[in-house]
Amino acid sequence: MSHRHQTIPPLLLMAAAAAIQGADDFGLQMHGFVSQGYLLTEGDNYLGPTTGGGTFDFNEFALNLTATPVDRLRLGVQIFARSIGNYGGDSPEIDWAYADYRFSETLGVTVGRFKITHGLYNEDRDLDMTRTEIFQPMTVYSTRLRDVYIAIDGAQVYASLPCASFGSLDAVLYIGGQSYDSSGSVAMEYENTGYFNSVDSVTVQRIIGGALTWNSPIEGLRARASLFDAHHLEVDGANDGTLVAAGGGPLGSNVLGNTAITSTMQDLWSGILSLEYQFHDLVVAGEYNREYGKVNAQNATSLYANVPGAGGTTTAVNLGSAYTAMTDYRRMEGAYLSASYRITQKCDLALVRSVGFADYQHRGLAFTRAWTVAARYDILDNWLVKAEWDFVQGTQEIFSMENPAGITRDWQIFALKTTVDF
Amino acid sequence: MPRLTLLLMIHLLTAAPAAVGIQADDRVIVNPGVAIGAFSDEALKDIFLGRRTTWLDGSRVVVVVVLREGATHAHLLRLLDKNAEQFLIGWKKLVFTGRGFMPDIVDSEEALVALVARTPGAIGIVDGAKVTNAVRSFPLK
Repeated sequence: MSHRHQTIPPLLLMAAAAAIQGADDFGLQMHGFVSQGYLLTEGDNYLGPTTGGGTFDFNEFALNLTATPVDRLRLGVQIFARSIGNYGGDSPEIDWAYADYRFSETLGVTVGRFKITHGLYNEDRDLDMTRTEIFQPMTVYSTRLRDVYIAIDGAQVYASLPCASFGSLDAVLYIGGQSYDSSGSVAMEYENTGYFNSVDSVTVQRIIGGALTWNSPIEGLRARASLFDAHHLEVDGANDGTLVAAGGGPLGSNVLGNTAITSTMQDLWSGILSLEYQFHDLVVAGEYNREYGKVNAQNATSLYANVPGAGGTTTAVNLGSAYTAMTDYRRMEGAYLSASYRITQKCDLALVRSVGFADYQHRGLAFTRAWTVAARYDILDNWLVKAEWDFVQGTQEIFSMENPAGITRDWQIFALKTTVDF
Repeated sequence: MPRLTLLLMIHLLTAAPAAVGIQADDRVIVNPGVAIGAFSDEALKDIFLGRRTTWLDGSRVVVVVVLREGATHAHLLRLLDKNAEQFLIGWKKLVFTGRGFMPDIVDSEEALVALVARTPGAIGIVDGAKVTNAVRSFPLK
């Protein structure tokens, strides 16, 4: 079990919220949602075993409580679970749990676990009811990296500044940390490199970031710049593929054993520039994202030699460890342009063009070029159905470990999803 | 091109009822305990989009709406420059990211007036003919 599930302060908040249940004066509210989807891919498996007959292993659940026990103070907690192929496993976790205090209408502070303002839609990653598409553009909001960016445990300060005829500015600054699941999406990202066979722990020393939003005087037009830094992101694991059991090799041969690996990214930077324009029933958005991190990996490899053993057998003797180091870089780049239009009172259509590169200094390597067409139909105010088709060129989002039979460059996603909220 | 024309016609047909139903005498009503003298358009937008969550004395703003039904809600949507779905989605974003409370939703404007009258910090928009002495009211542009 990850540390994420053991956090005590959120449980105290839950207890506080439960204690005030039924007190109308505190404005207690409870809301939730349930999603169920179907995911089929053609060409490559994506997020799990999705080719062939597809999968129904694609769902989300959330339940939250919020209350205002005293003026200016808001308490809230949300429990969330999801399963998308290899991700989530329907394991409930505390999605957010916080105390928010407003000193005034223009200044406030949040303490606890809260969603990170990063780009226009990072906070909405799990909220199907807020968009037309099923998947957010993968080149900026990769489903695989949801756990890295979704929330932190810490504090944030937010402020609004009216700028007369120039509109207004919203600013948010946050600092905190995160406890990653050693079998979660960050671990899988490292395992997919082939460098790790297994990941024992993923830790980050500190996360700091912020966003500045300009709400222009033109109705519906806003721009945002966001910056995120995960300081000292460390992954400990092993590559034991060359381990030879005692006596497993020919007499006199030297063999390699376990390799313990510590991979440290001193700083993982992510910056997003965003622009959105909403004009009546049309919403157009574009975002550009860059990630940068320098990775230093320290390897400690145990060396063995096979020596004569009893009864004509051989025995592996540990000769000590050899230490090696390597440096690599994470230089991801992504962008998208989307348009969503409400064609009737109940139906939206969306078109998205996404482009991304695994390394912006070598754009010819792994990349993504995708077209997305999506439709949303609101059966009721709290019940929707969606359909989405993605045509993707490039293997940036494809994991080799999910495709042992090989990877194809061109692949497609077909997804259906329904969501009910209350 | 004919497809675009068809889409435009569908859109105009579905949007038309909201546009023609707007009434000039709609009023902003608040609970009598809310200490405020007037509302600017910007202040109303901030309140009904969930960006402003407290009154000047720090007490909680409680938004009350009659969702979808009636010309008054259309008037509100025009003020906010949102369609009904965008209005609802905006509130759901706040609720499920932990940044706000959902408005109280009632079935009729009479029920809205009654709820605003008995709920501290409540605010809503109704047809001026429905306003009673139990609430304070202000003109809506």
